[in-house]
Amino acid sequence: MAIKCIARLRSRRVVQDQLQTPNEVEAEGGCCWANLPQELLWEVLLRIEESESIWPQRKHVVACAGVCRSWRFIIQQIVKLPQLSGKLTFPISVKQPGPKDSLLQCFIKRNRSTQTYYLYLGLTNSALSDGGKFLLAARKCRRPTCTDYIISLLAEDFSKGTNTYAGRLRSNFLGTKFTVFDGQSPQAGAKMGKSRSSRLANLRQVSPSSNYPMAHISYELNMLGSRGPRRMQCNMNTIPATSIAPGGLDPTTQAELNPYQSTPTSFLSKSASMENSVSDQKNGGLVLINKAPRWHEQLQCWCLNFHGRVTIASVKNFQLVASPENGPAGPEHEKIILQFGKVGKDLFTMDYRYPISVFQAFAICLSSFETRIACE
Amino acid sequence: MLLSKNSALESKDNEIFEVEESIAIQSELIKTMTTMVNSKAYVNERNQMVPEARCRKQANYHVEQNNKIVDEELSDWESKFFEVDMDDLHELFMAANYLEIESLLNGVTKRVGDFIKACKNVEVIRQTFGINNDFAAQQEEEIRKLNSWNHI
Repeated sequence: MAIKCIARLRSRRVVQDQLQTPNEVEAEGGCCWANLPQELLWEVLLRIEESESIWPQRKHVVACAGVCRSWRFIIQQIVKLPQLSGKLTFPISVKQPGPKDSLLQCFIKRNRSTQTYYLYLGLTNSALSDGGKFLLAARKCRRPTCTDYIISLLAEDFSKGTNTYAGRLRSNFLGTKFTVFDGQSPQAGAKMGKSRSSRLANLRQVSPSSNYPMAHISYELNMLGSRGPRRMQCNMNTIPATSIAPGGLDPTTQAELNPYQSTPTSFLSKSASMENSVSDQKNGGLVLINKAPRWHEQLQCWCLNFHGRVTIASVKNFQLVASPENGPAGPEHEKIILQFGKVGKDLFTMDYRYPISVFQAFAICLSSFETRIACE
Repeated sequence: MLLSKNSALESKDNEIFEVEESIAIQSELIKTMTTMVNSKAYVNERNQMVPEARCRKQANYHVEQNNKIVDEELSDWESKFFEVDMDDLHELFMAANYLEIESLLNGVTKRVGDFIKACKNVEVIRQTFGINNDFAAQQEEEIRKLNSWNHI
């Protein structure tokens, strides 16, 4: 118990200190919370973080991080990355890999009239409940030669050039190939990493023209043409293939485990110069492919086991696993990394896990909405 | 028949409290002091200076706590005990920390956390605790912009 440890540390000093005067803070009249000893402030904030573990109460943890620099520093030390704790806390959590141990359950609501999609973290087991924590929103923008989905941390504000702009998904003209752009440049994050105070800030925004391509998604027909399920492939530029190996390299072990940094800097220095998807794999990037459904003779349809999380058949439904091309096939290639599917007219579940982030998961799901491959 | 052993504790403002020994040693500080100073009997000895103006309150806390066996009573009593203003709470905090009384520290820590959670927003937290906003202007602006994400 942490308080006991602090007490024991103090007691070692006590024998020498017993005749000394108490510290000046206590001698002063009136309240002096601003000078509260760090170890006591730590205990207070630690207790809040432990007790407010789910949303909406988790907002108190984020609020504490906004009070002043010393509070922010302590909260930063206390809050663990999503991949370790399974919890999303700060806005930057949407750019950090998901939990290692289990799928994090989210859901997406579609608003057809505004062509906007809203991503929520599920708070209860029921996907149909309204109780969700808002994470990201995406709005479709059709252009002459492509389609963009602008992804934002705010539900109704899709302006770029601010720290609330998360990134975008761009589709080619045919809707067969997509690129996911990260709104914050990892190089900017890397440069800022040097001084602690700038690292505490959210990653500085860069202009949309220098958005960083973090993933490429492609859709193809399978051998059966449009009668069969489509084939998906996602090349994750910023995630090393070794991240899925047991005891393999995490994306974040190479950088400090800083909950305020979204992407690793050292891996990116290799892939930063990549512009196209072809050589992703050779550079060691993780490749995800969709799990092939089985044909069910009696039901006369293609089936995947969604473990109850998907209830309506749709060509958009999919499960992504690591491609065997990443390395020798092993149990890690059986793990579902992303699962998406329909449960209502405009309601979809999205479950994801390490090593992808919820932002990447969301962008991949948006491509499933957009692509016209194998749609009747 | 052996009477219950008492320790005499003197506070900084020269008040002397007689406290049952079993209660006095709930403070790790006092326990360590008595062990170091006199390893044998330590009955009725004015054997330390306890520079705390709130010493009586600590003693009362423990007496009451030991008397309340039923959980409900205890938690009711504890809520009343901690219904103090920020100044008093701060003194309790400092006292509990100095005297190293774990149960009291736990109670105060929780109460401070409750105060923080009751604050509507960051500005109210700062006002309640008298804390200055020392963020750089740009960082403050970035935090403010993401405030609404926190509340949806």
